[in-house]
Amino acid sequence: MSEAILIVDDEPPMQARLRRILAALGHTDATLHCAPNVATGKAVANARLNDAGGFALALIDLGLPDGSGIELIRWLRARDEALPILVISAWSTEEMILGALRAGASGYVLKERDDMEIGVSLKNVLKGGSPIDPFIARRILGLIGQPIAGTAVLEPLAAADHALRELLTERELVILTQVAEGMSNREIAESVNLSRWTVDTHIRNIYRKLSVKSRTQAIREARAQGLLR
Amino acid sequence: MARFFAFIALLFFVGIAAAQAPAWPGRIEAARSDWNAQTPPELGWIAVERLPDDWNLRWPGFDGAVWYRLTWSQAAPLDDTALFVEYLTFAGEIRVNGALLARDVSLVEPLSRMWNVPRYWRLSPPLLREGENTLLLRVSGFSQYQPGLGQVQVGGARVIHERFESSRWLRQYLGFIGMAIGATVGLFFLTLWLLRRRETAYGWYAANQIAWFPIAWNMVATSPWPFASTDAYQNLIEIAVPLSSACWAMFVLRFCERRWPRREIAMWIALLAVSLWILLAPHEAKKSARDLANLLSTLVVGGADVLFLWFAWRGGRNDQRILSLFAAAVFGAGVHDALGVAGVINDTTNYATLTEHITVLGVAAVLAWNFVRNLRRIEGFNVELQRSVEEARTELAATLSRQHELELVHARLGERLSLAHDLHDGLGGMLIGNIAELEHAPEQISSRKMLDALRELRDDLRLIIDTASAQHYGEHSLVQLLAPLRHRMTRLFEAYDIDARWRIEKLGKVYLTTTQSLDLLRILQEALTNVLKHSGATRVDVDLTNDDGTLRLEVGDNGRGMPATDEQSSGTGMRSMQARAQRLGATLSLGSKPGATLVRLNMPLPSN
Repeated sequence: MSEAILIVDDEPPMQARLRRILAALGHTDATLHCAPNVATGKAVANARLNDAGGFALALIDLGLPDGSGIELIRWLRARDEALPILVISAWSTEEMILGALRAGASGYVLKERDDMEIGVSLKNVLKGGSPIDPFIARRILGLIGQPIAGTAVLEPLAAADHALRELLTERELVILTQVAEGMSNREIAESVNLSRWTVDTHIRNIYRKLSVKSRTQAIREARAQGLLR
Repeated sequence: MARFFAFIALLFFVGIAAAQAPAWPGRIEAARSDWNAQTPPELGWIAVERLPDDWNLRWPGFDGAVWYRLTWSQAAPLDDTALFVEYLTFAGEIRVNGALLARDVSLVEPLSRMWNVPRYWRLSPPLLREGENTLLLRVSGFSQYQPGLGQVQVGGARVIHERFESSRWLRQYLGFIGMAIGATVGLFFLTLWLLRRRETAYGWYAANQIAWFPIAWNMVATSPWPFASTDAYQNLIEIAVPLSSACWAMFVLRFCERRWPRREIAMWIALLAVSLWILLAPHEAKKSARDLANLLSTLVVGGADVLFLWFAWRGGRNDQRILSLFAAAVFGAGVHDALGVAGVINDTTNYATLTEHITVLGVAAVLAWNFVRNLRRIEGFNVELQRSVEEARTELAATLSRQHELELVHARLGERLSLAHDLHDGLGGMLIGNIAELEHAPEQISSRKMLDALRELRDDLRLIIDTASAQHYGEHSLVQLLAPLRHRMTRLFEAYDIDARWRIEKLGKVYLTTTQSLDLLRILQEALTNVLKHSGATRVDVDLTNDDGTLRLEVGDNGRGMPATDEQSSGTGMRSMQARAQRLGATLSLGSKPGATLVRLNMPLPSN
């Protein structure tokens, strides 16, 4: 399996920080492919995807000088179904992260966290884990019109996404609810009698459904507008 | 409608026939006898000029039997001869050339009532003779009740039978039909009124029909049953006339939506008086009492009908106009009948009964018309109602959504305010403290301490953002606010192989203000960070419970413990925790020895 890691971030200090963290996890500079914007990111990725067996991980900043990281994520996801893509986000809003997840991201790390925390997230993802946060779980539950207990919802539920609700299994809903309550993967695994890797698989599936859902919806909307036949 | 025209046609036919009835072709004589005489008297025969005959005009006050002898000369052929007797009042027997043709059931009190029964016979030899024939009729009657004989005709069987049939139609069949219609309609309107008392007009119409029933019965009754005497029977019939007239007047007033309390009472008093007079009048005064009652009734009905026309044609409804015409027709017939009974005109044919039936049909038609109109109005009303409900619903939805928007705006404003407050309290205070320290003694600040201060600022900012963004989607209980911190710290503990156990109980209903939540979360975060960075523990237990209105937070680890004079960083951490606990009105205690460190916070919860 490829050791290569794609980093797309326009801030040199952040690039350097990520290199340092990855080095601490045992990744040499040679395996790191950095790009400062969407265009270069695509070029670098293209070269690698075409002949050298792709990447083990992609780290994408969302606010890039020549476009949105979300677009790059969508582009990458279209070319590699299995590639773990992590969003590197500053004080991003939930909307941005949710948008990235719907575009196909596998998770996200927040720039403001300590190196140690970011390192933990990266290690987890490289091992095949899928990071998730309570607020993301809460947003997904909110999307399908199923707010968790103790929440008085002010936003109208009219926009509840029934199609997504259909896609999610009962087990996945239970896991989302538990994540939203702050339980860790290990605690969830204990609570539903699964291995924590199975919990990870469930979360990956949730993300996949989220992006598949958004893709099929995009296609349907495009059809409706006559852009596609 | 076909029946209606049949009635009209009959009305004209009968009228014309009555007018054209030929005079009796021979001699007519009459003689008095007592109630029980079986044979005609020898003497006392007086010539009668024409029929019908009312003997009270000849022998005023005579009650008993009167014999009528009619002779005529019959020419051949004899096989086409028939006899028609219109009526005799009240009962009697009929003989032709000495042979008995008919004898009524009771010729003394209770006297049979055959006054409305026309009769018809075919006459042939040997009963009928060529040349002179004699018809003898014995009639029992009372002077007060128009005693006498109706028209009598002899002639070709076909013509006479037609005459008989039309008379029978008018006098008998119509009587039965009228009684049935009256009873049915009366009961129908009575039921209608009982179910819907507000429709007083229909109630009075029912009363009118029911009061009319004895009169209708009188048309077909052949005995004074259930009364033992003709006087008693007649009393009831005669009271019924003014009673039903008054009910009619009440109906007219109510149907035209009028109420004349004083005049109504006056009318009823007059009615009561005349009824009493009918009941109490001596036998000799029965006719005058009846005439008075009939006059009063005619005045009441006539007045009511004139009013009816007036109300209806001056701004009334269509149904009132139609019915007022029917009423006018009945009144005309009533006047005719009254004049006939009083002997003013020589036609005793009863048209009131006939026109009464037509009016019943008219009332039924008006009712049906009103019913259909009301149905249409209800249907229209339903459509109208549906539209206004729809409008109201749209309006309500708009109001609700406006209200919802306002609530959202308010909530967001509130969030912004509390966010500003949090930033000022937390970050602001910390920044000012750090700046002051730096200004005071810049050389004493180690970069380590500087880093810790900055991290503290960052952590606070993160908590504020978490709290603020969580609240963006509604109010959250402490459990919800706790989730991000719990999740993050647990992952870190897992990364460092520290077994973190959380026990969160009875917090579902605990809601703190944003500032309080932040302080609490900050204390918890500080305690957990201390465990993570300094304790070297392998296990941490976090207990957070609502213990009877006191929030208890305990963070215990099995690490190396905290020396009383530890390195500075944890010292400042502890100071900051104490400051926050003070703001929460809580007590914070630290118990530490190697292998067991416990941070405990007790915070009294505000009672709702």
